[in-house]
Amino acid sequence: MNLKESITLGFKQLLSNKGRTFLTMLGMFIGVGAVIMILALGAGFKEYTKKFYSNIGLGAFQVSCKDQSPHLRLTPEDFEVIKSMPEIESFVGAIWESGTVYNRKGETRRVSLFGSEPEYTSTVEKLKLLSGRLYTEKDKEIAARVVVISDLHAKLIMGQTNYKNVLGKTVEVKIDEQTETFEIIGVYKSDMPSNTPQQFQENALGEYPMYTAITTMDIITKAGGNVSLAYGSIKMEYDQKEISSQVRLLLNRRHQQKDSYNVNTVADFIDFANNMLNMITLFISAVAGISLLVGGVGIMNIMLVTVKERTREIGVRKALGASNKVILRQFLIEALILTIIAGTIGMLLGYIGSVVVGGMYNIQAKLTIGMIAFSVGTSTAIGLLFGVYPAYQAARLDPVESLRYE
Amino acid sequence: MIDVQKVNKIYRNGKLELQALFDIDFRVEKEEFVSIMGASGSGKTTFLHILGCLDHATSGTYILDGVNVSEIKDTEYAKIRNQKIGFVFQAFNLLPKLTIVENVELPMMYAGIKPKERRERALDALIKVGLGNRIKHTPNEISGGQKQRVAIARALVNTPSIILADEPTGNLDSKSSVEIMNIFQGLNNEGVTIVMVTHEPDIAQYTKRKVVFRDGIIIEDALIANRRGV
Repeated sequence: MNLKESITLGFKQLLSNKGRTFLTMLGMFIGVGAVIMILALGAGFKEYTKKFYSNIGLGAFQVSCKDQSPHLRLTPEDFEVIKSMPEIESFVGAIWESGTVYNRKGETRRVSLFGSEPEYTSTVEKLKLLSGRLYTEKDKEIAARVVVISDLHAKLIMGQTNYKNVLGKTVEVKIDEQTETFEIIGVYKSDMPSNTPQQFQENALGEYPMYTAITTMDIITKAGGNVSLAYGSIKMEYDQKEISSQVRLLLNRRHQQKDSYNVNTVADFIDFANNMLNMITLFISAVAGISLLVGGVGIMNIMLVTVKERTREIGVRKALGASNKVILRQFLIEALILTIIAGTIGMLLGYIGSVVVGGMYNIQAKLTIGMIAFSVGTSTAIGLLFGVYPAYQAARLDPVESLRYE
Repeated sequence: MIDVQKVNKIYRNGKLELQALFDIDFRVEKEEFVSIMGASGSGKTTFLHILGCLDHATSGTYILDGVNVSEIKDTEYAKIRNQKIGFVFQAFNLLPKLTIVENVELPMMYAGIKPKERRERALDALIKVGLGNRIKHTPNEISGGQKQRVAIARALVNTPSIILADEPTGNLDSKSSVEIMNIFQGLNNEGVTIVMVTHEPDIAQYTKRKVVFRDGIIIEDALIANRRGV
């Protein structure tokens, strides 16, 4: 009996009891599926963060105050000092505020307003304009009530997909019980795929700010020229971590504080996101590992039952000339077919799951060769580990006793 | 063909010892047709298992077809069973999920014979036992007599040195029993050596020689007078 015949026989045997085969595989579907899902999502997420931050530029950093007390806010003098540092390429303040608008159906939608310098919008955020213009130095000088909105706002709030039509129109944003009116001067492209379900687009409205000049926001929020948020970039030839900590020390000293500022570089963000992701991956993998272990024990259990049920058949096969080796191989192959198929289906289910979940969060799930190797490898290992004992039990059955077995 | 000398079989179960066979000497020549008789517990089935290389004797020598199989290890027994012995059982022992022709092909599968030749030889063997037309059925779809014919075809198909039958008519009605015995006689006439265990005296009458076991020893070994079926 050659290997091909053993494999054919294994398939026949498993197909002859489809319900049991399926239930036996279930534990492995879940285990492998969960691991592949989190890995595929994680790979997609890493790609996403990398792309996201490379848009901003790797030298970029963000300064924020640890609490909202006014004396912590960055003053124009702070900006001058930091800008004068030779390692600093740019440094601008920003004011971020959330508010609500009514869409055309009269429903309330949450939005955010982001006021900064003209250079921020064009160089740091690198907005892609679909129509109109960005706010300028002149808008900043006169604190013009103008905003650049995203295509999502144009579509979902203004009800326009022809973005030229919203230019010159006004939008009313309610901020802290006060209604502010802005003229729309431009529409920028959000990175939301157009096939995203409507509900997700609605929920994401607040994540894409309406951009305006910092002076405009200064008046609206009565900040008095001081800000609690700033963005900058460090020249690439300098050590990001070192310069960012210099900025932090400088700000603390200037405000007579010990540790009241967060200075985060893009590298910090990426590190943080990756650490987080690795922890989640580890946790889910541990849970999935337990599921695989339980699944494996289930497979062993079923294989032992199968050996018991087929005792007589094993006796007949032995009487007809099947050696112990052939019997051992037969049952091992059955266990392997079971686990490898289960692992492959689990992998596909996990990948489908990751694509569905990733789609909700705008993340492109990725299935790598490594993940495929992991699925096949784990399944094979489980098949061998939990299949060898039942197969050994079958192989060492005494032919005389097995032939008597009812 | 078969030369057994001073074979003993002792079963040990903890401290209990049970001797099933005592110093058995037994020879079978080519083209013989021997029936082994005896009450249950007389040792006849144990002896058949030893002849069939399903079990080892505790002591003594067993030479089958010129090979001293009592010196062969358990792991090599499978090959001897496959090449030199054809079994026919009381309970037929066909595999229910396989078709009739697949059942007959089984011993050749373990012998490593190619699928095409396997099928041809299986069909030849089935024709020989008069079952050339029901090959795609499963064992559950045919009668007991037909099942035993399939089992005989399976036993023949690797052209073994000897066919060992353990109560082959035990589960059959008298008409089917006669049919099976006629097939055995036909095969024997063609030169097939057969050893058959039975407890039915009239079935033993179809064979050429009768050996009777009692309490682990052979008490009678004689040629059959007034053979039936010839």
